[in-house]
Amino acid sequence: MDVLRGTFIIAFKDLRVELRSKEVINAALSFALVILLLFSFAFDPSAEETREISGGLLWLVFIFAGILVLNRSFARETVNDCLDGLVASPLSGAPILLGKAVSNTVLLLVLELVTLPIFGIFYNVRWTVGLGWLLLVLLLGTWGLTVVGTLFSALTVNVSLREAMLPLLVFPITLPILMAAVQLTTTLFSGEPIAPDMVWLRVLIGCDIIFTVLAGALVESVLVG
Amino acid sequence: MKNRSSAILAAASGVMLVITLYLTFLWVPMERTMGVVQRIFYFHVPPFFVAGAAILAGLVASIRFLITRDYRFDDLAVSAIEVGWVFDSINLVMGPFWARPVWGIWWTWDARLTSAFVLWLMFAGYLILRRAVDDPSARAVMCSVVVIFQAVGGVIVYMANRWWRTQHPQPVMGGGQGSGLDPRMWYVFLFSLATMLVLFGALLQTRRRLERLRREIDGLRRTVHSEA
Amino acid sequence: MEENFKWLWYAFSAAWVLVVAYLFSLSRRESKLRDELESLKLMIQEKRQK
Repeated sequence: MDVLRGTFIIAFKDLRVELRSKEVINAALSFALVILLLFSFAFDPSAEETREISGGLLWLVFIFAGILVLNRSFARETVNDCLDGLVASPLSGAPILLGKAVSNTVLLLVLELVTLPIFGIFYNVRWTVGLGWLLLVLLLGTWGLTVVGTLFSALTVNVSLREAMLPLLVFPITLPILMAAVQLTTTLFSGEPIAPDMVWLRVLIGCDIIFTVLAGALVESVLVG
Repeated sequence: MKNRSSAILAAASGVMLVITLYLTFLWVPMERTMGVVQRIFYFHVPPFFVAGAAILAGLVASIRFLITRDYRFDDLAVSAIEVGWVFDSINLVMGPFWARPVWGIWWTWDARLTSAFVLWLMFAGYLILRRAVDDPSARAVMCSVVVIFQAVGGVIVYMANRWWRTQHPQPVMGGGQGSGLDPRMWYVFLFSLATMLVLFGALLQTRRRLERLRREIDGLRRTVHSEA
Repeated sequence: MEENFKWLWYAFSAAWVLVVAYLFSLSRRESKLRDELESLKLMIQEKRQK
């Protein structure tokens, strides 16, 4: 299928470009570590209460560091009119959006998987229990945030104050994804069974589907006008 | 024709506002537990519904704009969002003045307040984006896309918050919010809601007129430059 | 009772301030736009007369 092929072409292109310089992933990772440091001053990292908010803390780190990655996604294309080239290419909007969303998701997952053990060490959180579920939550949560974030990255690419506009627009919209991810992650960290939180998993999947379809439907308007 | 409908709406909203004030302060019975403060309810809650209606209106207008590319729909969208933002602000600002004497706290993160705040942020984001883009066609397209996401996201946020917040302890709401309401209170509430909707309509028409003016100016500017 | 009147007063004042401020903003924006429209029309007239 053309869309699938186009998606992989774009995804591989973006990942290859990023792998060469590694600039975004390094910046995002460093920022994540800085946030972890700042959190240690905001409250007592060893207290029992911290465990109750551990899911929230972790996802805050992910979204603040991740927004750097999402911002760059289309910002990178403005140099040398690459964006015009992309739009003029035989690829329709959907593979461009999905390809970039896939590559962003990969980058964000790398960020998350590196940050997770460090978070576990700094805040004495056990994350290895229910690891399968945790990875699923990371994947679903990241995809939802990324697909919306990537579309809005395209939307704000020429807007002034782009770095501030992206979080302002994306986070209120993707709040349910965040809520679901935080709730599930906190439950997994505390070692409790995930069964009562299944509704949140459904929320994650539902939001992912809804936002992916919406983004795919609107990407042409965003890219071409 | 446009001016007449807007004048009628303005007059109607003025009259209804006066009636609502009378009903609120002189007609409706005193609430047993909260006393006078409870009357805030009649002016504090309807604006939230109006704001919800506003974002849905913005959603419909934005979809129709993207399909038809008729700028009158963009006028409607921006007007709905801006006026809706004002109404949501009223809701957010009045709430704490009720909460403080009744619950003892200024704010709580329950489903309704959180949703009201998220809605406010969405409106604000839209309006800031609007100002940040100069090209009228790009601006209209971008803002339409944003509203569509925000409206869908907003509905999900409201529903998700209801699940979320039921898992966490929250202050027990003092009676008066739809639980065993004296029928006279219901009448006043519904009348106030109708008043707010009419007021919304009046402000909407005014704001649309403003947007039309702006477009006329943009068009003329292009004429000036092309003839130069 | 008197305590509660204070809160009632604050709430309604705040709401009215917002409404009045918005109406004010609308009217000021409209007059600015009308001025701009007039000056543009004038400019076009002058250009056409040349």
